[in-house]
Amino acid sequence: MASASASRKTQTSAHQAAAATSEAMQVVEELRRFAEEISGMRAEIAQLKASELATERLPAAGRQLGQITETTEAAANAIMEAVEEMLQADSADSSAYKALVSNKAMAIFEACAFQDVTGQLIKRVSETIFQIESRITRIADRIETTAFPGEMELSARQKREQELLLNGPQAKAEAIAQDEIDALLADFN
Amino acid sequence: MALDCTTPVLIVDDYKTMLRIIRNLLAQIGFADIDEASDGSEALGKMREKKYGLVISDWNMEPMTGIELLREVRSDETLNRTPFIMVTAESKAENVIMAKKAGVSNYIVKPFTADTLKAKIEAVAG
Repeated sequence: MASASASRKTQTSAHQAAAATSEAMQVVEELRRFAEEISGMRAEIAQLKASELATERLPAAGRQLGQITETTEAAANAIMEAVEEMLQADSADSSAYKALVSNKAMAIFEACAFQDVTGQLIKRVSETIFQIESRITRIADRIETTAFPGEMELSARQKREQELLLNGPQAKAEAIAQDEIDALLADFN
Repeated sequence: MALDCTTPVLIVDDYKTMLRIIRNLLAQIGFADIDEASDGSEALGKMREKKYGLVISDWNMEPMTGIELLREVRSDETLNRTPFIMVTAESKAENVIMAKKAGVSNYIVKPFTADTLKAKIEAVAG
């Protein structure tokens, strides 16, 4: 009797131990999967180059917006000055007046070039916004999906921009003036 | 190549405003035969149909950029002697060097004045 009872107790303990071990293994397996998932997420986040956005693209976008303000302000002032000079000019001498109007009209044409420069700058800022949007979407989609064609398309465009030096209008600190360009060309000659 | 007011000029830019500005400045300088293209591939097509004495091109355009157009022009035996002025907002030294290596005749950075344009055209013509 005592022996049978001891045997049942041993069997029960063995079952309990087996169940506990199985449960522990399940927990270990879940933890392993969890660790793998975290590791995968870290790799994904690293690929998103969040630091590049924070240290390069966003500050550049800020500078580009500042440049847009400066460029449009300079153009508006140049146009207004030209118009003011035309309005204040003495029209008694018709040939001198005609020459002045022609000259000021040219100045207005020159000032209108701001549209090209600001257009390119706005395009750059839009691309940065698109990048932020696509990277945030990628983080959100990470849990559900792995495909993200938009990011791949942008990378191809970035590669082309690098190869063909499509930098867009430069910030004043980076740009070189016409005189310096002339000197550079003269060095080649 | 000698340039005068009858010289056909092709201006290439994807911004209509810029095409208009350059066209007006060229007209003011005295040029009368001026055609326009909105990117390099359209310009190349026009250059193969008509002989131009001067090309004034932007750099940053799609699908064919100004630097790609310049390379195409310089590698084409029938077009490679055409004076080519790059007018662009790309003002890094590396851009100027790349353009020079590709065979650009002169390089103007935007925004520019009519005097600068005139001086560069005269330099190319001289």
